[in-house]
Amino acid sequence: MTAIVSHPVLHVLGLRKEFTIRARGHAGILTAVDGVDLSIAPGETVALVGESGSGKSTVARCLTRLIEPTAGSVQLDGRTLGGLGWKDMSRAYKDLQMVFQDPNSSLNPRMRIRDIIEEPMRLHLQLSAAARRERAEELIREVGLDPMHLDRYPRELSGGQRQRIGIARALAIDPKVIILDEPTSSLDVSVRGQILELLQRIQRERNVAYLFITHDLQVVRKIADRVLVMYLGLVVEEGTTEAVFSAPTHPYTRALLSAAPVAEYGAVKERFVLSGEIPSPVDLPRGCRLAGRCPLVQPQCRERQPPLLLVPQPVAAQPPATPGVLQQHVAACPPAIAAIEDNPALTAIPPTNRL
Amino acid sequence: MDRARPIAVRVAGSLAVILGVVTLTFVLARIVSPDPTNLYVSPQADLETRAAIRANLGLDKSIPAQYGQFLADLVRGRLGTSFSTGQPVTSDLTSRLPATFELATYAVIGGTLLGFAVGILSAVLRGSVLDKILRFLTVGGLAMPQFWIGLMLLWIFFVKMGLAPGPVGRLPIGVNPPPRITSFVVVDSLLTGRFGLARHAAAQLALPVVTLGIAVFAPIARTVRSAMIEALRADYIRTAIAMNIPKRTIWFRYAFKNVLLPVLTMLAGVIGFAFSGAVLVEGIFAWPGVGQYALDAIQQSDFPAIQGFVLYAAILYVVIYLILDLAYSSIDPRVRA
Amino acid sequence: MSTLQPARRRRRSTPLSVWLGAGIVAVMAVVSATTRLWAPYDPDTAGVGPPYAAPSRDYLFGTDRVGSDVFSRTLSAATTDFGITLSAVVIAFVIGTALGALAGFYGGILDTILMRLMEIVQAFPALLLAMLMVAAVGSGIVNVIVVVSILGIPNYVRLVRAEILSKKNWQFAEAAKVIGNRPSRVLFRHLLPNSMRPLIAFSSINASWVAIIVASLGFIGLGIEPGSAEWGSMISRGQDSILSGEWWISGFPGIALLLLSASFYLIGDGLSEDSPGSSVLSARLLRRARRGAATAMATAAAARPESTPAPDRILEVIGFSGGFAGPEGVRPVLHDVSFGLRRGVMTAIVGETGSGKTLSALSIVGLAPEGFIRTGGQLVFDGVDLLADEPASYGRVRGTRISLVFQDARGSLNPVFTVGNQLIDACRANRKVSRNEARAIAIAMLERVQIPEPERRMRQYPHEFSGGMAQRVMLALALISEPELLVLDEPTTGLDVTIQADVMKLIVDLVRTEGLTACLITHDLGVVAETCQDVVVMRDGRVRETGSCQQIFTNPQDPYTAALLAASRLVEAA
Ligand SMILES: Nc1ncnc2c1ncn2[C@@H]1O[C@H](COP(=O)(O)OP(=O)(O)OP(=O)(O)O)[C@@H](O)[C@H]1O
Ligand code: SF4
Ligand SMILES: [Mg+2]
Repeated sequence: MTAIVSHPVLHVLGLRKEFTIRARGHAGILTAVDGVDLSIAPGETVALVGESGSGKSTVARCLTRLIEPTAGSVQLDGRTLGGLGWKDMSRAYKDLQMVFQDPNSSLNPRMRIRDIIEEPMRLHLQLSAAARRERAEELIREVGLDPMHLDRYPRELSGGQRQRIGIARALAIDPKVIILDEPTSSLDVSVRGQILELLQRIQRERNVAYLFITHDLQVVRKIADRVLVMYLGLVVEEGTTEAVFSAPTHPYTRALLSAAPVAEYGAVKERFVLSGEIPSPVDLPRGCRLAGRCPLVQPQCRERQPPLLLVPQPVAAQPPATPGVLQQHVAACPPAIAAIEDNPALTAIPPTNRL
Repeated sequence: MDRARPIAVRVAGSLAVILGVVTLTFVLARIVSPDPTNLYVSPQADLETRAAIRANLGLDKSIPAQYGQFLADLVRGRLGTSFSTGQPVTSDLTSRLPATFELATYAVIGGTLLGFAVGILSAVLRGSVLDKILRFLTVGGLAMPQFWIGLMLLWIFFVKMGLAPGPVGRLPIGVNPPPRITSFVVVDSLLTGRFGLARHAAAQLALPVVTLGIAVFAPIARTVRSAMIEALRADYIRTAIAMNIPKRTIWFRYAFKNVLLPVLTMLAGVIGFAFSGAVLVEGIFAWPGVGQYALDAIQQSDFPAIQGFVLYAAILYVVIYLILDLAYSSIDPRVRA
Repeated sequence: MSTLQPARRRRRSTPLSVWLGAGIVAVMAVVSATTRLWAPYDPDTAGVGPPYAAPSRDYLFGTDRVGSDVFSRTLSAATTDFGITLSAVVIAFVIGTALGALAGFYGGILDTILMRLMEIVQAFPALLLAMLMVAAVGSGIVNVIVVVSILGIPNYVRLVRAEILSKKNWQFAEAAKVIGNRPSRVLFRHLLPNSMRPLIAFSSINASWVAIIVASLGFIGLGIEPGSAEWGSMISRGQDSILSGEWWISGFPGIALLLLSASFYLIGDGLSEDSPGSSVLSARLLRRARRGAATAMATAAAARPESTPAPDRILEVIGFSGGFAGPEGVRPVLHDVSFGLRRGVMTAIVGETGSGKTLSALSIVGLAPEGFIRTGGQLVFDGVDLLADEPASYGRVRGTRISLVFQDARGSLNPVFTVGNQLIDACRANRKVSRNEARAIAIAMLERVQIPEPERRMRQYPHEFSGGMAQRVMLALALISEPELLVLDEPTTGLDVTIQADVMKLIVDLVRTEGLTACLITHDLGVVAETCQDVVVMRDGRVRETGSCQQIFTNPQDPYTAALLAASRLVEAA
C-alpha cells in the first residue's frame, strides 16, 4: 500500500481474481487481477487506467461482487465485505453503486425511465410512492434532463441521455462510492465533456467518492485526484495525477501517455514506442510483464516481478491531492528509477507530450 | 453442445445417453406390459405353464434383477426374441434395415439437394416474387402432416392418374427381388442387369421418397435461406465485394462455407429422423422397414422388439451427432481442438 | 455488422405473414369454441346421410363409411385438436421456461442433470416416444396433453437456457444486481421479459408441431378414445376409402390440420425473422422510395450545370445526397455532400456518431448498406462519373483501383478461410498472376505490413490474429491489388492505444512510400492532426467545413469545428 488514507470509504487489499479457462481441451489459469491494493477517501476520485485486458473491469466487477474475487479483502465504509449472501450484499449496495460502460445495454429496454430510477429506491428506501416520484423528478433534473423523460423508454433517448439516466439510477440511494466503468468511452467527444462536468458537479454537492475506470488519459487528467496504472493484472505505477502526468516513470505509462494523439496541429510527438504484442494472460512471462515489449529491458527484469518503488521527486514534494490522503509516487521498474536517480532531468519530458 | 470437449469425454457422454435411453424404455415397457405372458400363451393356460414361461423370461426375478439381466444381455448383443414374429430381434431388425435405408437415402439426398438449391435461390433473390413463392412452399412442407401428404399423393398419383403403383412395399406383389448385393433393390437390379425390375422398384419408391423427401427438404431450405441471408450480410462478404472477388466465388465459396455450419446441425436431425424409420410414412406405403416394425411392436406391446428398435435409434442419434461434431471442427477452424 | 447503426434502435416491424397466421388461428379458435352453432348435423351420430356421399350442398365435405357428416365432424374435431394443442403448448411453455431459466441462471449441478435428461429425451425419435408413453399411460385427452407437453419441454429448456446464458452478463442484468435486487428478481423481472420474443416465436412453431403429433397419435389409434372426432383419427378412418376414390373423408380433416399447423408456423417464422428489410412491408416501401428517388434525380440531373473537376483531384464528390427508405419515402441522411480528394494526399473525414462519414465513404465504392437510396449527386473518379453506369463502373474500380480498410478487421476477414487464401483470392481477382505468383506477392505483402513469420501466418485463420495483427492483414489485403486510392474507415478504433499508434504509423508510412491517395475516416481529431493534410468536417449528414489541416486546427471557420476541437482538448477546455 503506497497511499495512506486516514478514513477510507473504500479500502481494498490484495485483490486477486483467477479465471479457469478451457482452451484446446485442457484447463488453464488466467490471472486477470494479481493483487491490487486500493484506498479511496470520501469525495475523492481515483482513476484506474490501462488497456483492454489489463484487468480494470475485473477489479470493478469484484468490488461489486458481480464475480467472486479469488482472494483479497474489501472494506466499505469500515465494514468488511466478503462471503456475503445476497442479503448482506444488497445492504452493501446501498453505499456502493456502479455506472456501466454501455448506456445502450445497461438500461432494461422494457422498463420506463421512471421505473429504472425508482427501482433502487424501492429496494433500499422506505418511501411512499409520492415521495419516490418526487425524488425521481429531482434526480432527473440533477442530471440535466427534463422530468418528461421519465415516461419514456430507453430506446427513445440518445446515448448521452441514457448515460445520464445510468448516473441518476446510481445516485438514487445516495451511495458513498460510485464505481464508473468507462462511463464515457462509448460517447462522442462533445458529450464526454458534459458528462464529466456533471460528475464533477455531483461530487462537489454530495461528497461521493469515484473509482473511475478508463483508458482515456485526457479524462483521467481532467477528473482524477490520483491514478493507478494497470498492466496485465498488476498496478505498475501509482501517484497523484499531477505526479504521474508530469513525471511518468514506468515505460508502460510513458508509452501510454505518448501514444495518445493530441488534437493540435504540428504537435509532432517524440513517441515512446512499445513494440510487439501484449502477451497472453494465461502464460505470463516470469519477470516483468512488459519485458517482451520494453525498450529499457535489462536481464534482471526477466527474473522476478519488480516491486513498486518510490520514484525520486525531481521537484519539491507534492502537496496531498485530497485532505487526509498521503499518496506517494511509485513505479514497478527499477531500471527506470535507477536512471532517474542518476540523472534527474530524465523525468522532464517535452511539453508536447503532456496531455 | 460443448464442442471443446475432448473426444473421449464426448464418447462417454454418448454412452451415458444410450444407457439413459434404454433405461427409460425399460421403465416405460414395464408400465405398458408388466406381464407379457399373455402374448405367449392363450389366456386359458394354467398357472403352472405361466409360471414356467415367466421363469423362462426371467420375469420371476425382482425388477432391479431383471434390469441387470437386461443390461447384461444388451452388452452381449442379445436383444431377445420378438413376441410377435418369434424371431430374434437382431435378425428382425437387420432384415428390415435395408428397406428403411434405401428409402431414407434417396429422400435425404434428394431433399437436401433441393433444399440447398431452394434456400440459396431464395436468399440471393430475397424479397422477389420467386422468393415468396418458395418460402410459401417451404412453410407448407414444414406444416404438412406426413401421413396426410402420403395419402393425398396416393390419391392423386395412384387412384386418379394411375401414374404410381399402389402401396404394397418395395416391389409389386408377386415380383421376386434381385439377388442381394447392396440390399438396395434398385441398385441391385441395375447391377444384375434387370432393368425392368429396376423400373418397378423405382416406381414403388417414388411416392414414399417424395413424402419423406418433403420432410427433409422443408427444414433444410428454411435453414439454408436464413443462414445464407445472414452470411451475405456479414462484414467479410462486404470485404470480398470491396476486393472485387467475383459474385459466384462469393456466393458459393465465401458465404457457402459459413452457411454449412448451421445447416449441418439441422441436417443431422433430419438424417436421424429419416434413418430411424419414418414410422408413419412406412406405415402408409406398407414399406417393410424398421419404422413399421416399431409401429407394430408398440401396437402389440412387443417389448423386446420395442427395446431393440429404441436401442438402434439411440445409437444412430449418438453416432450422427458425433459425426456432426467432427464435421463441424473440420469446417470451422474456431472450434478445431 | 455495419457500423452504421442508427442512433435510436428501430422498432422491429411485424411481417404481414404473422398477421395472416394470427388471423387464421383466431378464426379457428372462435370456430372451435362455437362448433355447435355451425355444425349442420350432430357430429357423433352415424347415418345422418347415406354412406360415402360425395361433397354436395347437403353434405359440404361429404359423408363417411357410416354416413356421418364430415363437415360437422371436422368442425367438432377442431375443438379437440385445438384444445389439446393449446393446453400442451402452455404447459410445456410454463414448465420448460421455468426449468430453462433456473438452469441457465444458476448453472451448477441442476443445470448438468437437466441437460443430460433433456439429451436423453431428445435421443428418442419424438413420435416413437410419444407412442410409447401414450401406450404406457393409456389413451385419453389428458394423457395425450401430458405426453405431448413432456416432449415439448426439452426444447423450451434449451432455448430459455441459451437465452438466459447469453443475456446473463448483459449490463442491464448486472445493473439490476448492483442496485440490490435479489437474484430471483433479476431473473424474472429483468432477464426473462427480455427473452419473450424468441420464446413466443418458438412456442408458435412448437404449436405447429404439437398439432401434427397429436393428429399422428390419433392416426395410429393411440390418441383419444377411438371413434371420437379428431382430425388424425378421421384421416385414419378414411385411409382405406382413398384407394377406392373417396378422398374427402381424409382430405378435409387434413386440410383443416394443415391450416392450423401452417398458421402457427407462419406466426413463429415471422416473429423469429428479425431483419427489417425482409418483411413484405418494408420491401414494398423500399421499391416505392427507390422509384420516387429515381424521378427526383432525373429532374435534378437535367437542371444541373456541367461541372469540370479539378485535375489534381483523383475523386470528386459533388452534391451527393441520399437516405433510407421510410414510411414517407426517403428519410434523408446525407445532404448535398461535396468534397474532393487530392492525389497523393491523405484526407481526413471527421465527425461524430451519425454524421454520415462512413456512409459517404462506402458510397464512393457503391457499398452503402442495403436500404440506402441515392437521391442525387455525382462521384467523379479520375474523370469518370461512377454513378453514370453503375454497377458496371464499380466493377472496374472497386478493388482494382480503390481499396477499403474496414474498422473491425477480424470481423471483416472470412473466419473459415486462411489469411493466405483470402490474400491470394484478392490478388488474383485484380491482377493477372498465377496462383504461385499470387502466393509470393501475398507473402511479400505481409512482410510489408510488418507481420513476423509471414509464411507461417499465411496458413492461419483470422481468429488466430490479435486485433492489431488482423488490421495489418486487412491492410495487406487492401494493398495487394495495387490501388490508387485507399479508403480507411476508422482503421484503429477499438485497438489498444499503444497498438493504435503502431498501426497508424504503419499506415502513414505505406501511404507515403507508395504515393497513394488516402481517405481516412475517423472521429479522433488527434489522429487527424498527426497524419492528414486535408480535412473534411461532417455533422448530421452535411459537410460543415473543408480545408487544410493547418487551417482547420488553427483557424476553424465553422463554429461546430471549433466546438469539436474544444471538446477534444478536454484538459485545456477545463
Ligand atoms: N469471465 C471471464 N472468463 C475468462 N477470462 C476473463 C473473464 N473476464 C475477463 N477475463 C480476462 O481477464 C482479463 C482482464 O479483463 P478486463 O475485462 O478486466 O480488462 P479491461 O482492462 O477492462 O479491458 P477493456 O478495456 O477491454 O474492458 C482479460 O485477459 C480478459 O480476457
Ligand atoms: S522492469 Fe525492466 S522490462 Fe519491466 S518495464 Fe522496467 S525496464 Fe522494462
Ligand atoms: Mg473494460
